Amino acid sequence: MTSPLLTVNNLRTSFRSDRGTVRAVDGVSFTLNRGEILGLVGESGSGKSMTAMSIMRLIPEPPGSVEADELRFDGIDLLALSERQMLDVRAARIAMIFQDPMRSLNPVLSVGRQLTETLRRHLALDGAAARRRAIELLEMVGIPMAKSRLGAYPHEFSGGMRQRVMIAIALSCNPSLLIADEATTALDVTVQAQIVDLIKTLVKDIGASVIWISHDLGLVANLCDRVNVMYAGRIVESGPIRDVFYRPSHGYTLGLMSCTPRIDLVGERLRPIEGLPPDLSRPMTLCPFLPRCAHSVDRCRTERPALIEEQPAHWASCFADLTGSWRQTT
Amino acid sequence: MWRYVFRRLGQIPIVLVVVTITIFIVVRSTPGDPIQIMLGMQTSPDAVAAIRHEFRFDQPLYRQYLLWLWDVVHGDLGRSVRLNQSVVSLLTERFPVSFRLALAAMVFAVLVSIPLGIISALRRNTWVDYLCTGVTLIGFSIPNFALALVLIFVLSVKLQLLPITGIGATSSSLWASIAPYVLPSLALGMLQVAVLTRLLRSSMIDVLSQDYIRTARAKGLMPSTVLVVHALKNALIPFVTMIAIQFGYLIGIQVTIEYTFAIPGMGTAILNAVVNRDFPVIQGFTLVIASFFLLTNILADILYSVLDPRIRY
Ligand SMILES: Nc1ncnc2c1ncn2[C@@H]1O[C@H](COP(=O)(O)OP(=O)(O)OP(=O)(O)O)[C@@H](O)[C@H]1O
Ligand SMILES: [Mg+2]
Repeated sequence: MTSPLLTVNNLRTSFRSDRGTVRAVDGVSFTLNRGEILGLVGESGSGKSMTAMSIMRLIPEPPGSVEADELRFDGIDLLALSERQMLDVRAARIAMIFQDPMRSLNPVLSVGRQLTETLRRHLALDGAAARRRAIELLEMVGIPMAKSRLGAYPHEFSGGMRQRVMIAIALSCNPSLLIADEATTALDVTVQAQIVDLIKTLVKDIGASVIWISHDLGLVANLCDRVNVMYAGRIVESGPIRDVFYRPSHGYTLGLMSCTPRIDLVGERLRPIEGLPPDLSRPMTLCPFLPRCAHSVDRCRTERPALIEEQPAHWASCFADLTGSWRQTT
Repeated sequence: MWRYVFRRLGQIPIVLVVVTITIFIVVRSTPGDPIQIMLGMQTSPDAVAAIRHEFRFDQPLYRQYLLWLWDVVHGDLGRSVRLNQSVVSLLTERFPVSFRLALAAMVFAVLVSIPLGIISALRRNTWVDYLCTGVTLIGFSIPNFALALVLIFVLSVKLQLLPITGIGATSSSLWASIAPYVLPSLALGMLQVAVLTRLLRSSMIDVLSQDYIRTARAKGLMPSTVLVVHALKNALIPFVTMIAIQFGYLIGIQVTIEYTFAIPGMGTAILNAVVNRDFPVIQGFTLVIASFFLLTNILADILYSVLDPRIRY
């Protein structure tokens, strides 16, 4: 077996603030294989975006601070790179798509400019070649009359078209890893499905791996090979889609699933579980989900569960035995 | 776009009529008769009446205004009561001086505020930022004549670097013609430094937190590209607009500075006109200053739509 594309080992991202140190990412470890699509789910504030931004090394330091035992991408130790070297990794090797395509594109620069600047920066294309490639890219993501749209500004595009432009930019340098942070959340459902299909096809073509961050469990179930469930800055459960979603081994995942009537339905958002996530600036000695958990056992109140491999390739950090609560449909 | 500009230009006469009517009424309803002030008390009533007639001051107010307006439309702003000169010729003498001074003050303000605004936004809440805030506070709180006196004392009297007066005098070298503008434009531009630095700092901070800046960084662009192309291009939109507006405003507020530096600009002319109740000069100068202000405001709007592709009138 070849080595994984991305290895994240004990990633810790924190922010120093007046209220103390906020541990936004608190010891996250996972690997991503080549060609794999990995889902990252969890409720708001659980640290999904911060995990992605840490991998890109886009966390401003200070006030942020990013540490890890290992952050290895395609044989490169990302933490050992200088900021200057990291510039050559961004977009060229690891690309990112963000949630709101209106606000993610610069309103005062033409779409063509925003595409070609990436090409010129990383592929050293000159003006004419960059323009030709930009037109190809816009055609590739399905923008009609691409040539005449180069000079247009983001506000002249619809939301779905803007996200297509973002995808064109993200994939313009054939990255090996694409991180999509809620790439379809701001779009309406029909457009969402088109964008997901587009990304799926394109990453297959260029052979990129994907980290797909989403609130949409149904979408993750359809699209991803494996999924990481995050809670309070940690991965609480991880494994193949079938195992995690149909045989959850963590009280939080189970809570998410029981709040979701039908997992096979795309467009199913995370519904809130009763209670609030913990304050990330406080040290945690027990399971962070304990106050909200409906399945806690006595042991939960004395020690903190470690992330262990409960089934082959299926990891969870939970003491409770949840087999009795699994859905009958599986 | 052009239709919008023409519409705005079309509004100018209406605003000017309102402004000039107001001035017309105000200057005539405050005590003091220009002719009496000029000729003194011993003059014969007949002589006074003759001159009053010549300047139409014996006619009803509305007639005076309408006749004045008629002349204005024909390019005639009347004659100064006090000076043996037409208002138009006085303006052609004085306006360029004030314009150059405003321009110099604005150039100074822009050159200082762009680096200060950017640095204080980038080094937000550090001692650099606090230092910049200190500079802008001085700009906001020191009246410009006080600053002028400080500058005169330090740069002219003590260090003997710059002349205090000399604007309008015939000069031999380029430096000799520029030098007299330096101190007044520093004193005049300090407030604009403060205004523009604060504006650029806050718009820069706002822009830097925008999602598209994160996108630009995620594209691996050089930090200088992110700063200049992606951030500054957005942050300068309100800044440039403000420059245009402030420039229109600068023309009309130079009185104390001109007085301090003995500059033959519009400010001193207006001051003398007010003291002597020289109605035609007050009216003519008000008209020009108001027009200039209105024009720079339209210019600001045009600049806004040129810089921001989202704005289309
Ligand atoms: N600059 C910062 N200073 C302090 N805390 C921060 C800062 N940036 C992020 N955080 C904290 O990091 C935590 C994780 O945020 P993150 O954006 O990763 O959540 P998320 O899982 O992506 O949520 P969402 O689904 O809403 O996007 C949040 O609780 C947030 O309060
Ligand atoms: Mg997020």
